[in-house]
Amino acid sequence: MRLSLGFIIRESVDGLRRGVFHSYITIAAMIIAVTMAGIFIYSIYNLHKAAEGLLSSLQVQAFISMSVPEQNHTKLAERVQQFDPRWTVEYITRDEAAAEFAQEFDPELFNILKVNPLPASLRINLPAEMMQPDSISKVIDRISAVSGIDDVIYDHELLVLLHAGMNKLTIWGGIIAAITIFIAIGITFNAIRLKIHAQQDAMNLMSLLGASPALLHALYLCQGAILGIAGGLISAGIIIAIAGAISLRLTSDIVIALPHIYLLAIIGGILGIIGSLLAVRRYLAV
Amino acid sequence: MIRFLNVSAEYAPGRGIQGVSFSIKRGEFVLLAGPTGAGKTTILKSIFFELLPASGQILIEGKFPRINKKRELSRLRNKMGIVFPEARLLPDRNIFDNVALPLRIAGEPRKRINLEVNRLLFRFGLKDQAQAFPLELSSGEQKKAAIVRALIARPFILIADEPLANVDSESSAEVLEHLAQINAEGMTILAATHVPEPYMGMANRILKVREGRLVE
Repeated sequence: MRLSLGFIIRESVDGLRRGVFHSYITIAAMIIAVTMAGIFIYSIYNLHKAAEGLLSSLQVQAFISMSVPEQNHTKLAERVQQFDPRWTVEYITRDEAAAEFAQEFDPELFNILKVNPLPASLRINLPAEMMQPDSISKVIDRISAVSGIDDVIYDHELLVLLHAGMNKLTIWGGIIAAITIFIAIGITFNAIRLKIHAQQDAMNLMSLLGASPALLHALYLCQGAILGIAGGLISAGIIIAIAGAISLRLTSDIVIALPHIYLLAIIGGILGIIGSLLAVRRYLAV
Repeated sequence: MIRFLNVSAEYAPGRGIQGVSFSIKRGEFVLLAGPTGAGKTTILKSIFFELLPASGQILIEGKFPRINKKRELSRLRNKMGIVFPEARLLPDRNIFDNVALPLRIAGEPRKRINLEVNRLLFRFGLKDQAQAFPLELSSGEQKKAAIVRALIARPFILIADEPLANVDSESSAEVLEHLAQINAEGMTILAATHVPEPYMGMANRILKVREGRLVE
């Protein structure tokens, strides 16, 4: 006797069709739960990306001692670069520093002072993974130890703030996503539980006609998967629409990324299967 | 073909069968007769293991079925034709789909299912009711459909519990005629009834059951 996939799919679809109102309600509830989970997951993802962008724009600035002759500045830059090839080290001359300062603050300041008090510096861009409050202090110590470097600065407060924000976001987003996933499983569990109660006589009859427990279980797992996939697909559509609507209101350089959005359908299917598996194990008596 | 060796089984405390032994040979029409509550249904349910024997052994086609192997039990049930006292047709599917159910469960190809179902429905005079739903049929027609469903997977035995229950006299004669016909074609039949008279002349043997024991 074969475990006929065609029979399982047909019976499952028929089973959902027989209780069509209940199936629609379940799919609607699944859509809400999976959409909520999707919104939180993609919000976390996009906010993380934005935070990483901010982190990568944070720079470490190492000021070169006035006592170091200008012809040695490049060598100093090369030495710092040798610490890690992933770093981007940019040498800023005293004149360039003054020009930047004048542009940002007061163009007349140096005319009044008659002298440029700004030192030459190295601007160092670190990869995002090194921009951690703990690991960056080691980087600062290494650069500070280089002879000819007077001082090393970076925006410590912003770095700490960004990391604290990202951590909170991950924890709360994770909790909310987990709750919505739990709700989605609960919804399928309840839907399949009701179906099992409604169809218990039919299942007993099928069992007496030769249906194996595995076959009967598969019918409900398939129903759970269908409900979950349908809910997940519609959720994916809703999230794409929401992201599109938000993008229209944002400036053109901000893009909302929805990588692997199709996974929502697969996630929906998996949640549906888990929910129905729990219901079948608990309530299906054959 | 089927052998009961000192089988005891209970469906409720103190209610069931005790030390029942009998055998059925291939092609026989055996009638289990006795009053309501005598243990006829318990015997039938023990054959397809809806009730598990508390003691004793049941041999089916010379083997002790490994009922703890669920797949083997399912395969065995699929090869037994069972007719329940109530027709037990699924009300939300038509007669064709009800009858086709054992074949679909067995994973038979659609072509064979269509062929077999149409052939048997025609033979039992239900061809025109193929698309009808059970509640649209008379009780006699429902019972015939239940018999067709029991026969569709070409079982080695037909187990019928009160096959004439809830059937009017005209339909009863028709059902009996069909049972006699399929028995004449070689089908082994074990039927249980509390009214044995209509089966006289058809059954090869009558096993009388009373208070959970075979008395004759």
